[in-house]
Amino acid sequence: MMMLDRRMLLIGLLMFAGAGLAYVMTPTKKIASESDKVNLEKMIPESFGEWRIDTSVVPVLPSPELLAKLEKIYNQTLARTYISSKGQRIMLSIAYSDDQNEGMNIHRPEICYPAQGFDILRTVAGELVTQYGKLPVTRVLAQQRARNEPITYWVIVGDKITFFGLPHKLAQLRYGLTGKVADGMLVRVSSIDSDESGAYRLQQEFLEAMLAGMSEKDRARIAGRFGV
Amino acid sequence: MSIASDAKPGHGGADWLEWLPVAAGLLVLYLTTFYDLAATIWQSEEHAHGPIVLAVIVWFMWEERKALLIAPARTAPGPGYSLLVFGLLLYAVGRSQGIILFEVVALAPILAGVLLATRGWEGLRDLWFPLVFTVFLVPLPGFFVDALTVPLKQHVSEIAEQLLYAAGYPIARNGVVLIVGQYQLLVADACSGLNSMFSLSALGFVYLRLMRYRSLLHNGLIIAFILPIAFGANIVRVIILVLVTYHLGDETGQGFAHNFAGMLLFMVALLMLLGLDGVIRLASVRRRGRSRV
Repeated sequence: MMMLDRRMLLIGLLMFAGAGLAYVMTPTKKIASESDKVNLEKMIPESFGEWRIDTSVVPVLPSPELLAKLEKIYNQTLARTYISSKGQRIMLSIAYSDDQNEGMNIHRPEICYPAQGFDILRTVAGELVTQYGKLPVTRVLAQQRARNEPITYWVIVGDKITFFGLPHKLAQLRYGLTGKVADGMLVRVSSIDSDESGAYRLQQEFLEAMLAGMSEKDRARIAGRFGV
Repeated sequence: MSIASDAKPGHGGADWLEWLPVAAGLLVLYLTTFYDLAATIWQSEEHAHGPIVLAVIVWFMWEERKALLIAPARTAPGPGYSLLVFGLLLYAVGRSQGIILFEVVALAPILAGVLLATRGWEGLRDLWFPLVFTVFLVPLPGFFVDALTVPLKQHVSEIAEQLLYAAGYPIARNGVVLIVGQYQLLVADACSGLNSMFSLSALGFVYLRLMRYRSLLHNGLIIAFILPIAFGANIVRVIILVLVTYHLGDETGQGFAHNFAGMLLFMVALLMLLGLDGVIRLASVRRRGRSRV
């Protein structure tokens, strides 16, 4: 009794081939393991230009329930507040993971701030012109009662700076399809300031000073490849 | 379908064996996927409907199982194999690159391809409902969720606030934080109802399939009301949560939120659906009655 139909066999084989293809295509090589270990605490200087660490203010962090998730996803996070010689404050928050994936979205300001009761008033794509080149950044204005908090942030996948959403996924794919697992980083600065454009100017000054205060290698890590 | 079955009588149960290679292939492809889903996002409140949707798909396939056993007069190998290969490639990219969306979406073209290649268009027609229903297995893409969650949450809390205020409760709202009396309630992402809107839509489609109404207008009306009903049910949920917290205290409110709110949401939505269906039926009966007079 020959019950096995050739058509069915062919389909079965095709399916096995599909599963095999998926297996072969799965990236396994973490690019993070090829380069030096990232140490955020050391990479970002404690003082640069006219800025130094201020311990009196803590930046907005994801809610505790999210933090628990984050610990699973992020290998490292850094949250600091810097104060200038004029007494202006900037909050810096960096999250790094050697395996970049969807979980990156958790730290995304448009998600993490509303989770803390902030309203997001607007989100715009912008450009941060520094002495090292142009950084494509996203600017978000978050507000909670009297607290007006302009935010500038960017995302790095591997060595490329990108935007959240589709470009982010595509950057991930560029690595994934060549068998590599990219690492990812989210760099965010913000300040509590009712003057929105003034805050962005100050954040720009801060970031320029920060990048200038870093080694070239670390700079490339934090801000991706420049000037392209 | 009945013609073909008359032509090949008595083949009965033995034909199931034919499907063995296909079943094995599907297992190899999707056992890991569903295992991963069960271990990850199906655990989350937002995608908890996943296993139920899967069960519904299997159930409706089982209902139409006769179509699988009947050798058709004509198959459609061209479109069938094209769809199958397309689905498998989509699966391979999704599976390997961690794009669960592709991995799950691929199920529909894969199954459709298999049906076309082995059972022709007739087979596809018999099983269209479970195939289309696989849409509800698909995890909502992040950008989609992000884009809709915040505005939805905002509207749900706004409307809940206004209704409760109108009812004389001491309620105020700051963003998505509701302040009622001494209590503060954060309308969390889950309460935006985005995912529940997705699962409630699934519920609506199952309802339609079970009722099997012939009238296009009837089906269309229910489909059109599925999303508003889901939205309304979410507002009711938030309001009930606020009321429970206000009258019975924070602890009861939290316990209630975790244990019963989801169930309540479905019951409210189902009641609204049944109510709507009843109204439509009444209206159509009345119209028919009038035209007879």
